Formats: sequence, C-alpha cells, structure tokens
Amino acid sequence: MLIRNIFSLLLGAFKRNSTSSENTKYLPPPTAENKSDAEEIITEDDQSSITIFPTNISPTNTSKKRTMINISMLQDVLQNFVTSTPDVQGVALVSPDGLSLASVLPTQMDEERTAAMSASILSLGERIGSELSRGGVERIVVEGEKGYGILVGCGSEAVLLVLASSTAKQGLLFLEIKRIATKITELLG
Amino acid sequence: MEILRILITGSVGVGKTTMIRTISDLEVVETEKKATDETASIKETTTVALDFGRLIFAPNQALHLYGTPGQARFDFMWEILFRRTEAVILLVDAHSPDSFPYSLQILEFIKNIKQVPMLIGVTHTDSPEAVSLNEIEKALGFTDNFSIPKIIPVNPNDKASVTEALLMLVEELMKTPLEE
Repeated sequence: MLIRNIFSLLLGAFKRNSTSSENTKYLPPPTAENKSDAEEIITEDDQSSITIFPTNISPTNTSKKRTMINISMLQDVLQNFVTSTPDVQGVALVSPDGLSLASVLPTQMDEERTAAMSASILSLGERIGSELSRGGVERIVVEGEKGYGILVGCGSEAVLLVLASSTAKQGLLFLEIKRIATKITELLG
Repeated sequence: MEILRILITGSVGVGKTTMIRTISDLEVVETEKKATDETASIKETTTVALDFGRLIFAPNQALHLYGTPGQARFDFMWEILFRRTEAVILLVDAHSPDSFPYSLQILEFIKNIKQVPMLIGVTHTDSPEAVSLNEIEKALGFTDNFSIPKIIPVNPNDKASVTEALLMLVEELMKTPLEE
C-alpha cells in the first residue's frame, strides 16, 4: 500500500511546476571546515555552466576529480540520448542518496524532487527485490496513463531515470536504456 | 491486534533510524544509501525513503514505527508517511542549534495537515554543547503553556530510553478522543 502511494506521488510530482528552469548543477559549496583542504577549483564554462568545488568527502580524491571532470560529458551524453531516442522525453542521473548529478528534463519538472523521488523508489524497489526473493533489480518501471518512468542503476554510484511517452515500444526502449546505462557507468569510472 | 502507527521524524543525523533499530522486534526495513552531500560529514549512510519497525507493546497492541528521511528534498515522504500515522515523535538534536529552524519547519508541516499527539524527543543531551530543553522549547515556538507537547531527553541507542519515550507518547494517544 505504501509502495502504491509512493508511485502515485511520483507521478503527481511530474506534473508540478518547477521554480527553476535552468540546467545548472552544483555540488555543495565548500564549508568553513573543508575550504582549507580544497585542492583546486575546477570551473567548466560550457553551455551548462558548471562550477565544481571538490569536498573532502570522496573515497579517493582522484576518482572524485575524474567523476567531476566527466559531468559535462555526462550532460552531453544525456542530451544526445533525449534528442536522438524516439519517445524519450527526459532523463536524469541521480546519486543513490537523491541528489541530481546531471539531467535533461521538461521545464515544468522539479529537478531536485525528481532526483529525491528516484532514489526513494529505487531503494524501495531493491528492498522488494531482496525481501521477496526477486533477485537483483534490473529496472523499475512506473507505467502511467501518459507515459513511463524507468529507473536503472548505473554502477553503484548512480541511478538513471528515463521518462518516455506512452507510445514507446517497451522492448526497444529497455534496450536503449541498457545501452546508455552501460555508457554512463563507464564514464563514471 | 490493535495497531498504533507512529511517525518518527526530525533533522538529519538526529537518531531516527537508530531509534527504530534499537527498539524494533523485527529486523527493520531500511533504505540506507551512502551519503554524498553535507550529510557525509556526520555519517556514512542516510535514509532515502523510510524506516519501518515494529514493537509488540502488549498482547494485543503493536506499534508500527515509521522513520522519515531527514533531508528537505525528501519532504514528499513526510506527507506520505504522516497520512496514516496517529502520533508523532519529533526528534531534536540538542547539539545542533542550526537544525532548530528545520525542526520548526517540520512542526509547521505537521500542524498544517492534522493535529496528532506529539512528543518532542531531544537527542545528544550528553554532548558538552547541548542546549537545554527549555531553550529548545522556545526555539520551537512553544512559549505559552497551552498545548505544549511533552519534551524529554532520549538516547536513541538505549532501549530503556526509547521505551520510555514511546510509552509517554502512547499515553498521550490514549488520552485523545478518537477523531474521524
């Protein structure tokens, strides 16, 4: 019952108006404590205008740097995916704890909430998978009257949400998604 | 079997998941993920959907405990979980005054949906920088004595302390006439 409520709320949120339509992504700015530890500040001035501040939170600073440098590449990959794949209306790459990493979403959608909800749904889906002995979760599909929301993992560090219209052919769509997820997992190293 | 549904909410790192883990009869249903934002500086994992635990209170009474995520981006979960709960424990972190406005936000959110019996549980009271219960009451806007929820210190790691808090809340719940 809880799961059903969460699904319906997710679908409801997709119709909500967003306050910001910009596609700018920020990692949290350095706090007083970690500013002195900051190694360098990487600024990317392409059309996505991403400014990235390294934090001292990463498992290893080099892998974090590599991830950060690839964010603009990820943004491009996502943009290409939406543009070139028929029936795909939007896509978001999200951290497992619900923060947006990169996204190409219709302007009326709230990126932050979409990211948080995707993380919630995936975690619950995984619990269902394990508690009901369904095995590892390949994908979670929310099939609404007006379209699909599909979630897949991209390695252990990211979750991909794909929004598709109801005219999409499931089989082909799932294949495209699998392909892009593999590509993204590689980029994330 | 009578089931009482309790919501446990509060700011990040205050002890919601810990509290449910401490007291639940069953293995807790958790949705923990590795934290990647500011949360990571205080702990490794964070709740991204909900915690669910259960405590058999009396032969015919069970408490179902629902824990919310702490971060504001998951506030849709507060609404989902709160809808069907009958009482709330709001945990407040005595050594994080920065989190008080956030706790106030949660309080306002709850008040706007429905009035339910509530208990304020103050955690980290053993910390040297801990703020007093009185000051917390003031910070949460409970200045007049009318309908102030009970406020007690709680150690989410200690079974006896958690039980005391739940007992107090259940008492409050029993006092309230049934609304429908």
